[in-house]
Amino acid sequence: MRILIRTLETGTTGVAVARDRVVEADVIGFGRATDQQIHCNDQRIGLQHAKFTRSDSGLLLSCIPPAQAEVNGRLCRDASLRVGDEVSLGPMLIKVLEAPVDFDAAISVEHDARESKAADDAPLPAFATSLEQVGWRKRPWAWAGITITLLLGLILPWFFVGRGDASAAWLRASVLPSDMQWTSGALHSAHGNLEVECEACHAQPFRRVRNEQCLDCHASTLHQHVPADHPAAADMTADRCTSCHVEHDEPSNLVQLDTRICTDCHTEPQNHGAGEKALPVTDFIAQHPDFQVSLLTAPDWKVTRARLGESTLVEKSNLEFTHAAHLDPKGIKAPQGEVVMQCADCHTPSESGTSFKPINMEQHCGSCHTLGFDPAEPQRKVPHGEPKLVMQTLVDHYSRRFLSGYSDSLAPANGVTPPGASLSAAARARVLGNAQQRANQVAADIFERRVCADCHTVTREGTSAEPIWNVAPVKLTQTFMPKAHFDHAAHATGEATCETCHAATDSKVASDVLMPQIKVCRDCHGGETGTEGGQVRIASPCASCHVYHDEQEPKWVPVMKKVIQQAAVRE
Amino acid sequence: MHESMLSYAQRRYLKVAIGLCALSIVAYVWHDPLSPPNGGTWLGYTLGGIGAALILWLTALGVRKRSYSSSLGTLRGWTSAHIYLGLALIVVATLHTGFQFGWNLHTLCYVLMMIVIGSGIFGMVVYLRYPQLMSSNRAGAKPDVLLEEINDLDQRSLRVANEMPRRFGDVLRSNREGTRIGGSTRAILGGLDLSTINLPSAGGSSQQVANPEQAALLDWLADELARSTDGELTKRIGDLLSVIATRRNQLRRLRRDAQIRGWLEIWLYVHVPVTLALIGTLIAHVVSVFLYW
Repeated sequence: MRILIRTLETGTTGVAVARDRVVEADVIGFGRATDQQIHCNDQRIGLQHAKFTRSDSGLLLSCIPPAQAEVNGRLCRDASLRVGDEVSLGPMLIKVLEAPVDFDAAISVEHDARESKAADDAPLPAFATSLEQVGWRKRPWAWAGITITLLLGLILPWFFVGRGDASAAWLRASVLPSDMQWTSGALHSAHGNLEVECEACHAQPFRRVRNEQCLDCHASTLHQHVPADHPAAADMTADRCTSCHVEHDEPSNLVQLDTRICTDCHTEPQNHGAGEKALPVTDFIAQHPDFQVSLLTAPDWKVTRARLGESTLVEKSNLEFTHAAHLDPKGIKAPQGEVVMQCADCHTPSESGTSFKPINMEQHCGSCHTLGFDPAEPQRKVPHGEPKLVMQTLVDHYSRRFLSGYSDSLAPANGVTPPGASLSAAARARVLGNAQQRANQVAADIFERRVCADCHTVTREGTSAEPIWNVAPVKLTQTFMPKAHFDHAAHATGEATCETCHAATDSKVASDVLMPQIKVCRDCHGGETGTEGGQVRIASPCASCHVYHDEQEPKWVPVMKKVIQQAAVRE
Repeated sequence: MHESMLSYAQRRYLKVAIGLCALSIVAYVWHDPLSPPNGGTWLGYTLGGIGAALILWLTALGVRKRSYSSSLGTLRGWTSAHIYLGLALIVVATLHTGFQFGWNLHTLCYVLMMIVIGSGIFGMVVYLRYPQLMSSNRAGAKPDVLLEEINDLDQRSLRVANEMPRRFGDVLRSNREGTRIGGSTRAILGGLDLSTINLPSAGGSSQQVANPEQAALLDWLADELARSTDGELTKRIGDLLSVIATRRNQLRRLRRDAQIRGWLEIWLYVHVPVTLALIGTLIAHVVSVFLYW
């Protein structure tokens, strides 16, 4: 097809200029792409928008969907064109001209004059298609965000804290956000009273909580960490309370249970200044020495320390006693008949339940081991005390009885003194002599055979006329393991009996030490986690038994005063 | 752009972020302090310091974005680092807390940070998906071109209507005036069509009705077509139906375009203001813990 294309352009001067070009091709393309014969650089026009081909009657227009053309005012996609037809394609108006000689067709291409006009009288409304156009803003919200958080989160509470305790307390009681929002976790219940008194501990801004604040309350009750001769004593007094006693943490735990607090040094104690006696400890299960017990030892009653399990320990208390006989399940003879005794008959718990009240002869032994000596006066008893007093009691007793005319088969006859008659001096001396003799006989009986010797070691001195008895004093160890805290009440659970830990029924002598060895504890108690050795036991870190600030240690305050003074000097 | 945003420089910042997370986790597991893990141990302070520095640096992307003449690396590199290190912040900051949370300023700081990161993740996902959807929807035509096309279609339809009874012109003008794209947050994000049109009703008056997807107009034209007995008028109504159907398609593309742009932007309206609130809270958090040391 040979076609004449006449392009009409209106220049800046308003004069229309026509330019003709001849194209020979089967298909005349119209579109935005540069290879199109009729090129139209308009975004609305497709790269290949429409094409013209030859038909018998002239030209054939076909639009490439979705493009559409307007032919003589009618919308269509395909049309057969005749001379005089007008085709509107986007911004362009194409007219079909009379084909000159030698040409198959001719068209003119010009800008559609109607196209530049505003669309009729109804403008398209403005559309709000972006979020900003419907009112979304970043900047004001950003400013509000930083301002509000700084104001309410920091400046307001800080201002009130700076104005003093009363202002801070007022703010805390109000609905406004106060410094309470800075609490990173609840206080331990022991400190619950300080929950709304931040300044009780946080005394100075930007300064770490100091020991003085702790001592404000704890000065009168606090004991030192460890004995003064402990190798780490000096280091520990210099420590801050809060390095171990951490508050506002979850889970809340004021007592430091971490084993490392001990084992950091005690794994190799000699490397940290301890003496040769200190044995290594890593964990209650893995490595812990056998227990040591403190024993009060006759005759000078010094406390000796001895390790259980090393050899058979002997407690030298001077007591003659057997647990086995007393705990005989068939019963034991008592003034009131056969009695089956229980541990608790003698071992009565202390008020706290953690330990036991001291054993007391009158209270715990006296109901069976009566100190009576005269069957005629069974209520009459010798005192549980010095042998001299016992003798005095006996002499007094028999003198009174003999002088009042009493006689018995064992004593020399006194004769009968009529009522109201007074004895001669010689007769009186004879009666008193008889009484003394009788007292000596009874004393020998109760000291050496019947009463005292049941429990005590008794020796005899002096002459047969004036015998002197010595009773070895008895002292019982009250606390066998003073370095460990043990709560009996806490262990009175389940099927546990005294016998579970203390082998009393087999103990035939008083010198037996009935404290349990570590293996007994290990039946139930594990190490730090309780899962050591592939067995689940009760988690038992060091602090389960051993405590800092033990009551046996000196008070903390004098040491702390020194530390505080040193700190003040440094500052 | 979106692909290279993540794979920038052989995923250099992904490696950095993974390294940072791994290091933090290993340190946390190994650390085992005497007290329960918290922000106040040496590792807690370290992780907190890294976290705070990261937050400030990540925020600096907003400044870098506006500084076109900056020589501090490419914007793509910054964005890549922003995404990966922002995600790493989840691990660093969570370990800093020692998993201790409560109703306090410190946890608020953490929550705001997670909101910022969460909105950022949302933003990253839409940036990975939506630009493709947007260009396939636009098919090379920008919204202003599509609007031009609609103008063009309107002119054509009005020219056609000039040859028809007056009611056709009235309805087409009303359709043009009542055309809506977006208009509210809901309409933009939901791609809703709130267009209306005044259609002639019995008694000579007109009645405004909803015209979503040009449906009311197409129905009205179809109705007119069914009743038309005039051959010429029937052909012209057919022409109008064709134009309006095209118009409907272009409007649909514009609405979809606004919808996609809306989703591409909406997260930023959370991300940016909450970032600033986070910075305010972060300052309050850091100052307050030392104020009450």
